[in-house]
Amino acid sequence: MNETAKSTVKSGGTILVTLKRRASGERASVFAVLASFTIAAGILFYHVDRGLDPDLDKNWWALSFETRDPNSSDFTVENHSSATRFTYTVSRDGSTLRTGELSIGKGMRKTVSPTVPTDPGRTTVSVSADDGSKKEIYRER
Amino acid sequence: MTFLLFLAVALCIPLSGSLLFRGLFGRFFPVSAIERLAFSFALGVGSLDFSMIALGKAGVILSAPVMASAMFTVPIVTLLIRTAYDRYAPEKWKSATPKETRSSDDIRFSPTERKLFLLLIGLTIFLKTVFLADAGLPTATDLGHHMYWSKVIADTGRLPEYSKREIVDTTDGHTALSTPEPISDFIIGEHLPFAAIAGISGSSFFSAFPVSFLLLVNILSIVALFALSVRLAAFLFPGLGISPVSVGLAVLFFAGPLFAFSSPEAKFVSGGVVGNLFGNLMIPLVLLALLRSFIGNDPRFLGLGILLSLVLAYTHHLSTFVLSFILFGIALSLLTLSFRDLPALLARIGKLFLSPYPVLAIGFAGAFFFLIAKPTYIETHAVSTVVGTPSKATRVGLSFLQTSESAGVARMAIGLAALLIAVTLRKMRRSPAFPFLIGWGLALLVMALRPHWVFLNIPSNRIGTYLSFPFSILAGLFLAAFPILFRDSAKKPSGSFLPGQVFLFASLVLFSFSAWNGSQDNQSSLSDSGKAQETIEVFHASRYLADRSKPDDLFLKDHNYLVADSWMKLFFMRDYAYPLSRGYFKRYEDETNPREQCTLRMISVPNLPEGRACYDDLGVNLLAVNPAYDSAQFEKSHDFSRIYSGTTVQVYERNR
Repeated sequence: MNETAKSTVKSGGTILVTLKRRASGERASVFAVLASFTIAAGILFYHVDRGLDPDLDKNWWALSFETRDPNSSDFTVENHSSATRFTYTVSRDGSTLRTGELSIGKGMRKTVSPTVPTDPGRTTVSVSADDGSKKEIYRER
Repeated sequence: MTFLLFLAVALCIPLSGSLLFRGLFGRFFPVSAIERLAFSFALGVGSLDFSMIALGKAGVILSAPVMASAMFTVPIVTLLIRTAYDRYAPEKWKSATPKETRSSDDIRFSPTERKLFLLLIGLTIFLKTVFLADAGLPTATDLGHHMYWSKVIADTGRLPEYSKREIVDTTDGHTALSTPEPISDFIIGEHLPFAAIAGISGSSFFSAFPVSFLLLVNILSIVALFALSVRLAAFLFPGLGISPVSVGLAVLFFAGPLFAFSSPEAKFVSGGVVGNLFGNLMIPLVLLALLRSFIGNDPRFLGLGILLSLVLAYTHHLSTFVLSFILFGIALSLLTLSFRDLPALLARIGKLFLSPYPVLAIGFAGAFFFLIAKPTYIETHAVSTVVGTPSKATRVGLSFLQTSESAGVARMAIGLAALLIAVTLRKMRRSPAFPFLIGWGLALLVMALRPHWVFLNIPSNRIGTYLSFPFSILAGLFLAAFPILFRDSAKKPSGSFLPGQVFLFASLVLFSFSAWNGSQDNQSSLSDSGKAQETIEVFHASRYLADRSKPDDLFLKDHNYLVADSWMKLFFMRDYAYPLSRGYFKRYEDETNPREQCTLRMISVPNLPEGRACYDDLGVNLLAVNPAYDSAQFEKSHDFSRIYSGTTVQVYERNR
């Protein structure tokens, strides 16, 4: 083998060794940093998505008037709890106007449209769940 | 799918930065792969920020395709120009720029060091992920504030006007909402990357993407610190047989797993302290670039340092301010330690600055500043508010104990020991890297302990959080240099100052103390999980109101007892101060900073005349409060209807 060929082989070998060292050394560390971040971000997305799921590992429900219209008494129960049966009472200045039962599965909502007098007074909607929890909304007219 | 899209866009930032890096500095720029990663990310953020600002100022709507183009256009054009220059420029032009040579400037790991690096960085990321898995929900107040502005950009495609409406006293003794007043607390660079990621990937702000991106910034700041400590060690201990990588690993030990959750780390990530996190990435990178420029006499690094300082200036005011003090401290140390060779030193620095790269970088900075956009804090003249005699008890400086707690007790104790040793060792003192280390540490110590010496009027605890990085380096130097000092003394028994068993015991004590202190800090920082349900309820109530909101509604919520309340404004996107907020009670009693009382009165005493006057003056008609603390005062009043009832949030409407 002449000198040029030897030199070529030698420099080729050096480049290969350098590439191997780079790949197994510092660049592997860079790859490890990015790979670790990817895994960490994946875990965070998984956890936060679960945290923001209204039903997963959560137990709550909400009662609200369906509209902001002061003349409407339509109300909605949105259920994200383990309770499924709800009892409601609509009253006017302390007098009961209507009672009823609602069956609402987890993740579901139901709207009730009671008819109430239009004269001034306080309309109150009370809802009790079969787990003992209770909520109340009211509207002054 | 959302995760993959986020990941693709987030990783495009270092990719675009890498193209720009290569375009600006050529193929054989002497940086290691680890340095290249950190520099590329910082340049990628800078390129994205400046492109979006320029486009926004030119009236271009920042839609998703425009933002994607903004990410890559400048880097690709720069790379093409570079390629053309390399191929076609006359040789005499090229001789004016530093010679392009294949360099061997890698950070060389031994097999053990590589394993230790992977272990430490893996452990750091693992611990932070454990913390953030619980604390990563979009609930943090600061993160909510920042994401509002990012969402403004993503939704409207325009650069935001940083302003908000405030409650002010009128001349006739009433209160009113002001017209939007400029606010200087926010800087555009904090928000553009989030807007670009959300816009391009379609990621919701109500997801893990903001926290994940901040985690990336945080991880890269630790990588940058590692690279800086390796370079510092290489120049501090030449010929002493101390492996620079082992120093870097010791620094990684102190800055990574030990205090993984502490304030400038995972707590800042979950808390959304966006500017500080970017600052903690940029400051070590600027120092690394300046160190390598100064020691290697390479003006290209100086140009890089100037560019990164510019990125920081458009990203975070406090960090920019802190960096300027650090640079002043370094310059002072350099001048003091090189007093005898002052003319030569000044000539050398002058020559560095008068080279093409720094001149071009300064030219770009000047052109952007004067022709395109100034940072908000310059436009609103906010700088004068942080200079002067400290105006509050929280700004007169920290006690030594408070400073230690900010920096981490183990880091502070061992770092101070290292500082003492470094000052007494002539060989270290003469090292050109020494002024960088001592100037950095001492400048921050003065700012935190004695702010009045340098006429600083900002909360001292915020300065304290910047101490963790230089003291991690000092502590790492001590930990890595300790065995070498012992080995040298062991070779010469007459000069030995520590018998073998005492040394072993001392090393164990040192390691155990550091590990105990760091992990205890981690334990105390672990948050209680269980905010998820409360968060969901607050978001549900916000959505309920946003869907039924009318233009003339004015909404007030409570910040004391509602979880994630700062995120409520993202459902309305009407104004930074919409909904109005009852702030922390102590703020209404702060005599040094008197503030309006209406937001307090309208929730705390809605039925008293002063509460009613506020409602009448301002027209507030909707309220969200936590029923466990604030429902009785509304229940007994005929002025309010309860229109929404959840377990931890209730909404009231004032009857008209």
